[in-house]
Amino acid sequence: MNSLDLAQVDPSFRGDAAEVLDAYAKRLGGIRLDYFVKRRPDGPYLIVELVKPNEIHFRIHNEVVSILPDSNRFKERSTVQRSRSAPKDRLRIPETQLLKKEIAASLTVDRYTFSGGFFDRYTPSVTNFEQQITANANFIVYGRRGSGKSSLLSYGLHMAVQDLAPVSWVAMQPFANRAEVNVVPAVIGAVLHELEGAGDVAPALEALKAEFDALAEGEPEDVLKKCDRLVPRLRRTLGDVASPNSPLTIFLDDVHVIPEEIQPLVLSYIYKLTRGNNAYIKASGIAQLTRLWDSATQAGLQAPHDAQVLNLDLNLTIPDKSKEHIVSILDSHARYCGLPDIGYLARDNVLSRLVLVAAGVPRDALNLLSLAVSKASAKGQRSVSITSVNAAASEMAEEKLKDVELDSGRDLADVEALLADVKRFCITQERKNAFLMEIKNNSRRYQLMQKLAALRLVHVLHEGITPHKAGRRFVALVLDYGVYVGIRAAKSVELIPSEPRVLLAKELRSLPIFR
Amino acid sequence: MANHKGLSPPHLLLAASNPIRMIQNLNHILEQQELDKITAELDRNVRQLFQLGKSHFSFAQGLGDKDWRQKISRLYYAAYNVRRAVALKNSGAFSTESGDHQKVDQLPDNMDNRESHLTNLRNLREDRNLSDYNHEAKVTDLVLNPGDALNFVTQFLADSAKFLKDQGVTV
Repeated sequence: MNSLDLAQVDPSFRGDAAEVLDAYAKRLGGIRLDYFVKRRPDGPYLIVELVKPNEIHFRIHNEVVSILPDSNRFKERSTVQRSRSAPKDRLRIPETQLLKKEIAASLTVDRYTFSGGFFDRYTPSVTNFEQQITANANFIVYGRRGSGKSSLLSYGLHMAVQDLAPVSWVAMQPFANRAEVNVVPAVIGAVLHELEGAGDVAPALEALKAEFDALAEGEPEDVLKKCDRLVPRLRRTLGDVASPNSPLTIFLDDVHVIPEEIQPLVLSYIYKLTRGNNAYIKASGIAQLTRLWDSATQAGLQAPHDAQVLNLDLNLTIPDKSKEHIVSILDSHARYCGLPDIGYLARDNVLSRLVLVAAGVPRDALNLLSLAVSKASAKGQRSVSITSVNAAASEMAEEKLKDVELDSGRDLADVEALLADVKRFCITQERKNAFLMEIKNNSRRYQLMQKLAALRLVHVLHEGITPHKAGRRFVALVLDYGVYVGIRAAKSVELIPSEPRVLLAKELRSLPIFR
Repeated sequence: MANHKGLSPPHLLLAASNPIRMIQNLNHILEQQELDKITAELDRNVRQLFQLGKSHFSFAQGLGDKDWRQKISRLYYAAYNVRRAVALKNSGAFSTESGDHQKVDQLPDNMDNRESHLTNLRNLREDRNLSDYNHEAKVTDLVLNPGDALNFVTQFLADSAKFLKDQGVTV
């Protein structure tokens, strides 16, 4: 027996070993990795174990030993290695705990997510929008919560920073629910505050920022007129920051959180600053809650002339690609945590179910997996099961239903009533989770269904089919799995699709019509 | 003038403590052609150091695991001399002092698999000391068993050759 745990090590070495292990834990958010001490004739050797260590873990190890004092006897005699034996309980090993922690940290993406190793950790979008988002043009990225809007914007930001181009990233959350016109100078002030790479013109920008801040906090009267007077000077100054080879990019994350009626106005002012000025807007929002253009006032951004739309909401229309995408994201997180891939914790059929119940939304899939790991582990299961994914979906649906109250505003009662109708239709009446609805943009019921889609309580399977007569187009939708999986009747509901695959036209045509 | 055991004048590595710094600091005096001659001589030394390592590696490859002490010892010297070749080309660092064995972190930042190589160079150094000098040691005491050590050094040589090629030195 030449391996020992810490308690068996000569007491004079224990402090040194603890120093190494503490330094590891500090870098891993408090998670303590497995280890053993190898007893050798020339003295003990500390070995930290991971299921599958990679360059990231060797880097951590080298950082740890580099900061140890020369007096630490494991400074030159410690290493990280692949675990000697397969663990009995994969769901409880430190690597899995680390994965849950990583998932939790990555659920809310902002400009700082994965800082330092962004490109190592970034998984491209299913639709490969990365080339577009970095182009010299204005873009609006549409997607429901967790669809990867902020990730895509963040990719654009990191690419610009890598090219040493000036950037400004504004999270719109601080302006949520502010419908007064002062939000216009407030957002412009934030753009100036967040601007990086201003160089010599920084003092001029600072002076302008003070003026916009004063307008943002002052009386609303004549605010826009005063903004108009400042716009030419600000345009000139921003023009000095940017150049054709190094354009300024203004990122506006989650535009939908400000009231719809003020959105076109805010966007129009940012556009006044950027148009023809070597500056571009990259914005994101939930499509159904975002209004780019106000035809009455002719203000805002008109797609596709002023800004191109990148839609991340079509994941269940390409479920096979969505599965590849989500598995690649999970694999990336798993490898970062010292696991071979996500298949180490969940079999392929479980991952298929995960993708379906998450409706192809990456963040929902990450969240569901983390919840499912906890549930499977609590039941003593050796890996994540379909049952644990179902239970996680049910729990997450509760959170989505809370979002209905937050995001529905004055439509709350109507949205809840429609959801009840859809549930009755799918679960009791048709016993199928998928259905068709005629596309009528002016119909109140259709608009409310769009809201249910925005809230991730129904999901688009197909954007538009003509099952019967030409000229009448229908959208194919699926009720969110988590909404009904917890109830007894769910067992008799046919799951469509049962695997992450594109549905055939005849399958889509045969779906019941919800009216 | 640098002083290196085993080298006799005239020798580039005795002309200055760091030949790359010497080239950089003579570029206002010498013509490019003359500087190229010094670089060519530096590259010749880099190739020789790499070949020295490769010769240890070839010998180790032919040994069975029952000769684990010799195998680990030769694998270490293979990796050590290749590391010296990489360091010489990368930064001009060269030493024949015993303390040079501690300098595993001389690997260039942009070398493939740098972090695992750095850790395993350290492991192999400790295993080599055990193999060469400790009469009580058994093969199970090694941190890198003979098979793992062979795999590591094979990859290290491949990544080093790629790095040197990227720097214009084909080995």
